[in-house]
Amino acid sequence: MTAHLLSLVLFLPLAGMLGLLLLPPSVRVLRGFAALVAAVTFGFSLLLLPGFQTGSPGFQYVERASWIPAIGAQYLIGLDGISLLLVLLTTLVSLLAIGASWNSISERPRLFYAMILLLESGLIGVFTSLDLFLFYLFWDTVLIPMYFIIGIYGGERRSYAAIKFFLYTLLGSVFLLLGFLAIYFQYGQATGVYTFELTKLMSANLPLHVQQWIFWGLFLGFAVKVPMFPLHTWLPDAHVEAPTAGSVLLASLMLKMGTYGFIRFSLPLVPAACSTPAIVTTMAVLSLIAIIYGALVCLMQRDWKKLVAYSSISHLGFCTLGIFALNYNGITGSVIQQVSHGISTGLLFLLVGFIYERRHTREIADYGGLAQVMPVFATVFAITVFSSAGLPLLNGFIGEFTILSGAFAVNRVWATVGVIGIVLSASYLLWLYQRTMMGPVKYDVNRHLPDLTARERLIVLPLVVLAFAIGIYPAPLFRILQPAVHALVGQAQAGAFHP
Amino acid sequence: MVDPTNPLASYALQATLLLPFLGMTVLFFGGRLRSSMQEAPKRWPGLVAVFFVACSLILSTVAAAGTRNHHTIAMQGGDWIPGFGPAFSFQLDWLSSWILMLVGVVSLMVMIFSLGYMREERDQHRYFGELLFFTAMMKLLITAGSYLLLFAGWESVGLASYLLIGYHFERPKAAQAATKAFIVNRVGDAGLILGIIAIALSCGSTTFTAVASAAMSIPHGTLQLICAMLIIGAVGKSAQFPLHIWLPDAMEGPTPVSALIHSATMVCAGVYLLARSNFLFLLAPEVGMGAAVLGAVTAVFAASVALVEDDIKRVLAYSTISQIGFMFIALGIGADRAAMYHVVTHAFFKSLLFLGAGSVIHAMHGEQSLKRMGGLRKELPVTFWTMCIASLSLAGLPGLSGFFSKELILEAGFESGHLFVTACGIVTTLLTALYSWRLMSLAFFGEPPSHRLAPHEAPVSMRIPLVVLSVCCVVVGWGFVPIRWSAWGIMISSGVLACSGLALAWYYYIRRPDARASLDERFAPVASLLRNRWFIDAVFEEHLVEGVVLRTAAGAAVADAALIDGAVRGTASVARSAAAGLGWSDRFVIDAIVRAVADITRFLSWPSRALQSGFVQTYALLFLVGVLAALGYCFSR
Repeated sequence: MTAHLLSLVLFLPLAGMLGLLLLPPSVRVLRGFAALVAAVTFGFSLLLLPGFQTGSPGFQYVERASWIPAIGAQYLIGLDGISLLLVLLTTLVSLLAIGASWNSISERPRLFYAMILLLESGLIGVFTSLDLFLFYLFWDTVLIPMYFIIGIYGGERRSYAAIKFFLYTLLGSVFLLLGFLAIYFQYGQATGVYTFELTKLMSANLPLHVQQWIFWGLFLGFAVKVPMFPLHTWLPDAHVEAPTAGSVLLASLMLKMGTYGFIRFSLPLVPAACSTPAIVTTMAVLSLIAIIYGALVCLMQRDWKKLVAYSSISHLGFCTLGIFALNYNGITGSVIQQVSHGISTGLLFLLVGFIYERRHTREIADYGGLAQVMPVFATVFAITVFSSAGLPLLNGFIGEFTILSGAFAVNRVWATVGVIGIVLSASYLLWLYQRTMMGPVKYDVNRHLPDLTARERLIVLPLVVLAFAIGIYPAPLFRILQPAVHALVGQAQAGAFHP
Repeated sequence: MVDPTNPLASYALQATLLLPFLGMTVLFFGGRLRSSMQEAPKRWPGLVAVFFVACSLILSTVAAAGTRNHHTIAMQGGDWIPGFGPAFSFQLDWLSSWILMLVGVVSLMVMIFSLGYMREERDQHRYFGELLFFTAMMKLLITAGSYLLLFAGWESVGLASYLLIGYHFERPKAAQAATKAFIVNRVGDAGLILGIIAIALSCGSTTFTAVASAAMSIPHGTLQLICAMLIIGAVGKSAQFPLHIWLPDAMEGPTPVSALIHSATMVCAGVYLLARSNFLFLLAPEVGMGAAVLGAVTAVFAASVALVEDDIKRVLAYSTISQIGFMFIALGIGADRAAMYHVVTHAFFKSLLFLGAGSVIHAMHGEQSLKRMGGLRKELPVTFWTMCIASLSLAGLPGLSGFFSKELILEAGFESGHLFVTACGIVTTLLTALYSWRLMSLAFFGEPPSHRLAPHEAPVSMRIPLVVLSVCCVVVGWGFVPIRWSAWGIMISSGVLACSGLALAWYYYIRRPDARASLDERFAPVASLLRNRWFIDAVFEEHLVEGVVLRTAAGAAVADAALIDGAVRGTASVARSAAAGLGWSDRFVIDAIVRAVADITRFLSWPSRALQSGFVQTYALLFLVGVLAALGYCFSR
């Protein structure tokens, strides 16, 4: 079974989606089936762990099949440590997202759960494809379910947000495709072999100016997705309008497509471009702006969900900063921060969703004193806030610290600006906590809000446990990532840039 | 994870660390997060806490005994963040064992005191659980063998401080104070993070032993940077100028919490950090001087503010800031031991003062203003006498512990030859005596205000800690601090200084209170400066936070909506206008041409169209006409 385990994980949600079409139109049956499929997928994805050789470099669980021989596109998937972590995050968070939608989706449930399962398959495909064509197919596949999730099940301005999200990211994808095609043809012309296979194209060794053009093409595709400053404004709209599950999937998983793209494709395919001073500096500066600017905008938000959305921009700034530090600590920290962000921001969005289901408002000013009414909620929220603010012994600190040490090794100013972001993140998060949870209960409507239900506790529990586990004992993550990151750093520093 | 040279002490140390944590777990799972309004407060959480802390204290005595004769217990553990050395290491030497014992004693006293003080509170297990968490993490901070693990403890005690300041989170002021404390601390922590990163990158590890042995090879510029960053971290945690602003507000927490966290232990973590890093500061003494100057400024500034504060807890808070400034002076000039002695003596007399203040507040039914106290001497004899000892010790009355440790610092100041910091130290000594006896005078002497609920002496659980700590205040000076009688000159002069301060306070506050009015008038501008705390809080809140940070943030938010998203929306609307234009032209130009062609064709084709009527009769008629015409043509030829 291990021979096709990865394919199984990849296509199980898709098969589940088709299965949904055959079921009777009852919410209970549909959500139960979707949860079952997601749970089984998660279970199979856990089976990837014992067979994974942590010490060995290169891709594992590789499956290869001829697909469109005329253009040299193959069905080629595989895992290294980086993809493994993101696949596990995907299968877990998708399951939790289905759990979070349990009672909130009553209209057109079939389409909703079908779209979530399609999204899950698409994401796993993105994180496992080793063929550029296949990757691009999954990359764009992901857009469609999210478009429907926002556009049909979202808030008041859902159609605006959905279209903005779709067009913005699609526009980015076009440049990504152009970049891929450029590599494809350049490589084909040079060698006579036309292929989309990542590991082959890595040896293309294109001239620097070509690499730079390709870099900026890929940049537009990935940076919109991260999103990096100043390409981020689709994100707050999409997050605010999306239903809870949509926000969770968007923040925890889809944003990682961008950072993953930089790591998996930009660094190995155009290594010389990635290490030119101009590009490294630009990327670092954009990341630092995102960190500070995103945090500052957070301070001003009156909408709880929008605040969390902007906090993602700030936190993802750390991820891109780490990547373009181009050293071991920077990239490892970046991946760990991606996973951590998936956990803590996933929690933040879940919690906003729970409270929204009770009160149907996202205005921070409508709350206050909830800790007296909902002590369990307040406790979980406090853990989440501190995990997101990077308190040691919780997950956020590990990634941020490692990234900052990577950045410090390259340029002390970067690290200094980065730590200012840490101060600001504590500020906006604790201020949010103060305004919503502490103080007197301002409104009588809030006085009788029920605390977290058993189902809600069950949904947050795995993420809270993971937050502590990663914070206290992150060594396994580092072990999983080490060979992959070492290989990357080796490639990226081939034409290394040392300021 | 056991030191082979002393396994017993190692196990004792591990148990010391684990016990409070275990207690916390018991409380966390044993009680609901928030008890209902109707329930009577429970007693068991406090007793559980006292039990675990007492056991932890006994074991830490065993562990500390292992550090006699300059022996160090070192336990090497595993990695925490791989690549930064074996961070999970523990180290117990003279420095940490002192503080470990200190934390044990003070936390036990505070827990016992809380049994009585917090008697009416509903959320007993939350309160005691958080105190146990603090104790566990403070002990972790102290016994950590690496900068990274120290930082974990450092941040965790900050979290405990946040939670306990915000214990009464339903009060807006407490909530605000908790947030402020955490954020201001984070500013210092940002520096500390950079410092630790610099240490890790230059030494390849963050364990104290590894850093100490690699310190010589760190480039001097980096070393200066590291020391400066450590100082920034210490300044935040130890509430030194200009990051002191959180500590007075932190007095919103319950008074026993202030005694434990915000005077005796946590706020001295900065001093501990710098003393722990002395091997770095030895190599960059010029940076250390920065700490001394900061401490000197803070000491004078905070003492001067303490002179005019009316809230009993805020007087003590400023006093704490000032005394830690004193310790920073010692650290900066290289007198680490003197600084640590002062940490210990200060912890005892200041926690006693806070607990005494708590007893006063308890007796006054929550009243904290010194102006509404007075004459409590007779009603609260135990509180009065114990606080007397503490105040005199703080003032530096010869014979009490505070005198000896303060004298050591002044002596080191004179020996080092740094005139400015020494002068500041002397001025502070005078001011300290003044404000400490002012506090006593206002609270315990004079006439009681007319309308007052009858004050009552504290219950036994609150009196025991007061007595125990006051004994410590006396004894610690004699048995613990190395007294150097040879420095009798400085000893006598600092004694005279303290006594004259006390006498001055006695004259103005007890003997001739009426003379104070004229004094206030004569120094009105000074008094106003002091009452406004040198305008530092205002500068921070109005100018820095509201003026700079929030305004920048507002600007960023507007820019984001108007410029960046505006550009996106602009592009979209340009695209839509272009599309609309093309749509228009499609309809009215291109399609118009097509339609024109059609119209012309139709126009030109009307005669033939008229014939295509679809009526069979017409076709038949035409056919007939055609046939006739053809026949006519044929026949006409």
